Amino acid sequence: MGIEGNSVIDKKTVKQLFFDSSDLVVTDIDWPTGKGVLCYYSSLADGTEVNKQIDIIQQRASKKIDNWGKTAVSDVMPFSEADLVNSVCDGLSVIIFQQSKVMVTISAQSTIGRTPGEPATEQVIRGPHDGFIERTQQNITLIRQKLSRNDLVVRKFKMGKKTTTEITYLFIDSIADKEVIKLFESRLQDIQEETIMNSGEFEDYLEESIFSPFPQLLTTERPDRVVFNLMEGKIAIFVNNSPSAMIAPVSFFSFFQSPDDFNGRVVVGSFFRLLRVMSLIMAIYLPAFYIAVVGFHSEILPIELSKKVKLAINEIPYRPIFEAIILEIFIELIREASIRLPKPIGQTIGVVGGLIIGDAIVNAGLVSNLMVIVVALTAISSFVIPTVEMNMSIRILRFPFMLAAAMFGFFGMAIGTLILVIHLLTLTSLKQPYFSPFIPLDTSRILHVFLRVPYSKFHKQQKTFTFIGKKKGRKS
Amino acid sequence: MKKGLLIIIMMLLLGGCWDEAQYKDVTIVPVMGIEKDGEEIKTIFSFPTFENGMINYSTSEGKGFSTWNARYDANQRTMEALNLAHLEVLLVSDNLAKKDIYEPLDMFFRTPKNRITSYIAIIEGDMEQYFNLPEDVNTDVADFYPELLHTAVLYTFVAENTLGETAKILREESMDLSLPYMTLNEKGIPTVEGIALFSNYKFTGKTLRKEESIAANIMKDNLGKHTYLTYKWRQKESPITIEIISVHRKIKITHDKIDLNYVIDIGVDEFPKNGLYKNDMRRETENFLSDEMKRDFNKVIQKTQEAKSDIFGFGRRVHAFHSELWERGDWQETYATFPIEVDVKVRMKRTNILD
Amino acid sequence: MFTLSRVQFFLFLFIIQTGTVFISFQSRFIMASDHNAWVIFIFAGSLHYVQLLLFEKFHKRFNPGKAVSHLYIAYWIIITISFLSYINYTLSVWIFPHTPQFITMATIVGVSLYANTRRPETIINLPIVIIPLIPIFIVFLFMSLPDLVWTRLFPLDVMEYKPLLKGLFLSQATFIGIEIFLFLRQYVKDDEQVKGKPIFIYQSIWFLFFFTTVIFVLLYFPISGLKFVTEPLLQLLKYQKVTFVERLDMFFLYIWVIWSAITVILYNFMIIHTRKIHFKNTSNRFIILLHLILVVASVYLATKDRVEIVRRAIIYIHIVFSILVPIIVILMDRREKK
Repeated sequence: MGIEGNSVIDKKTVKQLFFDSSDLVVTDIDWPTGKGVLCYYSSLADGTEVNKQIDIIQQRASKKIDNWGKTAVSDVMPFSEADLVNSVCDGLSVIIFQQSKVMVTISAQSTIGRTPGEPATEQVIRGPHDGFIERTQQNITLIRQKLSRNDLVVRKFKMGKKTTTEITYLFIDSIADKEVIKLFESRLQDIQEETIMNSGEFEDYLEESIFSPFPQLLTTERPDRVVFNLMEGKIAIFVNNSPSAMIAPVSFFSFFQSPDDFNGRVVVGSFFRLLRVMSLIMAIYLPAFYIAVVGFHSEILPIELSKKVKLAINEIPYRPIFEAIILEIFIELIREASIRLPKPIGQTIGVVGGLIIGDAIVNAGLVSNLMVIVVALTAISSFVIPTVEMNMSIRILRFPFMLAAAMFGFFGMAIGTLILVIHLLTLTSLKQPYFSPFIPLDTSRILHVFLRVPYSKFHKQQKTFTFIGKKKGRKS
Repeated sequence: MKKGLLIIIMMLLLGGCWDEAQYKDVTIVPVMGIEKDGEEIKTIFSFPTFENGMINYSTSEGKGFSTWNARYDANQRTMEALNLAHLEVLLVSDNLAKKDIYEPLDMFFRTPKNRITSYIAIIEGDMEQYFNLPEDVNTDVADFYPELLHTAVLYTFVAENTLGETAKILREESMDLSLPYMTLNEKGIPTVEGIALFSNYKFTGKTLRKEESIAANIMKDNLGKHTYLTYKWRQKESPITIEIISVHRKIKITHDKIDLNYVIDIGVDEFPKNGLYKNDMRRETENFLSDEMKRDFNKVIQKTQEAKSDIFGFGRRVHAFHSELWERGDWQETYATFPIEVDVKVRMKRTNILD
Repeated sequence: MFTLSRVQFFLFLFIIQTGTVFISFQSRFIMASDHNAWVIFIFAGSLHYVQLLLFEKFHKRFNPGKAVSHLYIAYWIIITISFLSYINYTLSVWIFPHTPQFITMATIVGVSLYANTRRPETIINLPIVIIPLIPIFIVFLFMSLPDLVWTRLFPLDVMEYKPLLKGLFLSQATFIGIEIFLFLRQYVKDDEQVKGKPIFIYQSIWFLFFFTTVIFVLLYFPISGLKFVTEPLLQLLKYQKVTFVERLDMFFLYIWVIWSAITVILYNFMIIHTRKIHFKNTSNRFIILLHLILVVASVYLATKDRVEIVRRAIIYIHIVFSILVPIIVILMDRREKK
């Protein structure tokens, strides 16, 4: 079909082009240079603003100013069907002049959006309380405001031909690694998908090891975290209509840093970082440890504790591994249920599930009360990890460890740890070492991982798996 | 590749857990007794049983020609398998110890699961009586002995003797073993009576009584948390109780004698006579205590020499620095007749909150 | 190709040298050398230093050809097998009496296979797993401090040279793996200094580590009792009474298992890497075959008798490969240059 061939571009053909959608506004418009057709989606464009702009442009046209169509919010381009569709779908208003085969686009979108409030998943006590919203434009505003430098580059990439899924990525040109950006861009080109609704779908295209339990992109809704990472030479990626930014390449330990770490005292910050490391260890190992102890290594229990443990587990019908799995699944159920349910009911579920069923399950003799303590502690410590995806990953990780402990006791855990470390050492994020600074081992930076050392400089993302020439690291 | 991995994992899951020993399936034995019964060895186990959320105590007996054998025998009569991984006290009867104490203990050291940091003590007489406590005690065997021995160590009645320590000293030629010695008092309550003296691998039958064993521990400079001694001051005019604060020991060994030089710092804990604000009084008391202690120490030395039991480990130094003395023959024999001179000086460091 | 920083280099070497050996060599070493053990070990330590210095001086001349590399690959396979069989035996005695031995072996070797099919950098950095474990081990060890009997340092008897030589010979067990220095030295970044202080620091750490274990074992056990003790360090920890947990030896055993597993991975890495260089063969078939051999051989050798034979033999082979062969290769290289 196509209307370019047609000599007449009138209301009817335009309407056909948009399948006669009822929110499409198409009107004829008089213009000093001839007749035009104005069209826009009333749902996307702000009608009054459009009128205002049209007035201004009309005046410019009648005054015969050169380039009368070009203003801060409008543009002139040769008419083409594809551009027309794209522009209108983006929320622009378009005036088509059939004689001169040009069209003027006016960007006067109506904005529906939240105010940038603090993201629910990443709350801090001290520090900025703004967060990203679903509109990329505003998100970039938030970043630019925090980072006023000219080498902050914003690039856009449109996915596919037909849709309006738009990827926006930011980096600081003087800090970011050119090769990483090249790699990232080539990955973008390779994406075949036409529509991407969510940042999660996009993540799968960027990651190297999709089946690894560890996220290789850091997702955040906090502008300060993005700024922090940009300063370390990383790329921030926005998918439009998604409130979260993805950051790549990242290292394992970026997931354990909270933006308010540096807002606390050195001692306090260090304490909490250590606490997080401890919680990580607990979240992975505690149930496995318990299973190994009661299943294999009861001899390590101190005498005073041994009788109590024995009393607790003596009449439990199941093996500890099943006991643990019952409880773990129970806790995951509560968690999952309370996310989906509306807030007031969610809390009720927490109370009902946690207290009443928990107590009943112990009284019924299905699981021991010690196991309840262990599983609850594990659940709490897994929530300490400041990023959502990482704490999900860690929660999943304890299951293989529990299995290993049920089969081989501590030996299984030891071997599991080795495999885990080897996996982490191998993992990459945009081809950069994920487990930096442990690979390549940089002793001077290990301290920074576990402690909040006095703030001095940003560390650049580790580039290679091995040291080349001069030592990389504390260079900014 | 992935399928193979899956199969391996399934195999492991199905056949795995070869060495699993569920804690709920074992009986933890806190107290165990070994004695000689004719030619055979008899073992008694005391252990808690867990039913309906309650802890009860039970005992089990077994006989056999070795400790393992007897334990095996007892296992056949016990609900769950007996597990010695939480053994707290091992009681050995004197008749068994007089033969060779290492033999019945070997199994504890060879099997890796066993706990070897448990206390060990020698008992006098029939083992069974020690596992049937009279009503007055009001607690159970499994709790009683661990606490009893722990207190004894805390108050320096005996030195801390663990199974492992026992094995180590047994192997050592230059030192002899001394273990807590328990008897039954007239009411049938087990009492830590003193120290049993060993010579090489055998219990000599000779023991040190309570005050003597405290003295022996002071001489070893092996004090518990509290060390009290009571003397009768000036021919029973007044009792005096002292607490040992610290012991400074100097050992001088020459080829013909051993000189022991003790400087002991004490505090006074009981002295109804009072008057310690006077310098003379303090000096007098110090001298009195020095003499008393010296006498006690000499008595201990004499007893150990009679038993040919070098529980102080003088032999270690002799072995290290005096080879000609060491090579004179069996150290226990040498020790039995070797002149040892003791000198004690007591220094009163505190009189506590009365003068 | 990869490069190493000197920390990575020395950490690699440290794990290779300590690995499986450190748990058990003390008892035979002390039995052979009696109370003199500590003096002999100080002497052995200085020999080790000399050897390191010589290696550093001549490492550029050490260019093993195909044949020699082959020999080294064979030697490392033997070492790995001996380590694995010892691990296997120890595990089956201490914790897994009923588990089929090939399963424990297959798990450890499986980890090695997994690691060795990753990129080399993964393996080079693997020793970091050990770093947090070392202080735990040291704390455990120092808990036995009050039970040490210092008079056991004496009497010294240095008149007769035969037992001294035997002790010195047995102390060579701690040297095993030193030849890796020659192989990996070329990968250390050029701008990092190895000569002088870094080598000295490495030597000190190596020496202190082994010397402390020797001293602790010597002072803790009467020598006549040491005869019956197979893994003195484990036993020493088994004797410890602490309140928060029982059986420190169990924890230590697992530390050691991780430690040893990494040593095995590193040896396998050396085997595969050397093969890659000289034979331009990067297929995974060799790697898989190698690991299969390791499982089978180590299961076969894991009985008391066989373990003993292998452990005794390994020191002789070690001396050949860490002293004789390097000397020959270095001398040959010199002649060629002339």
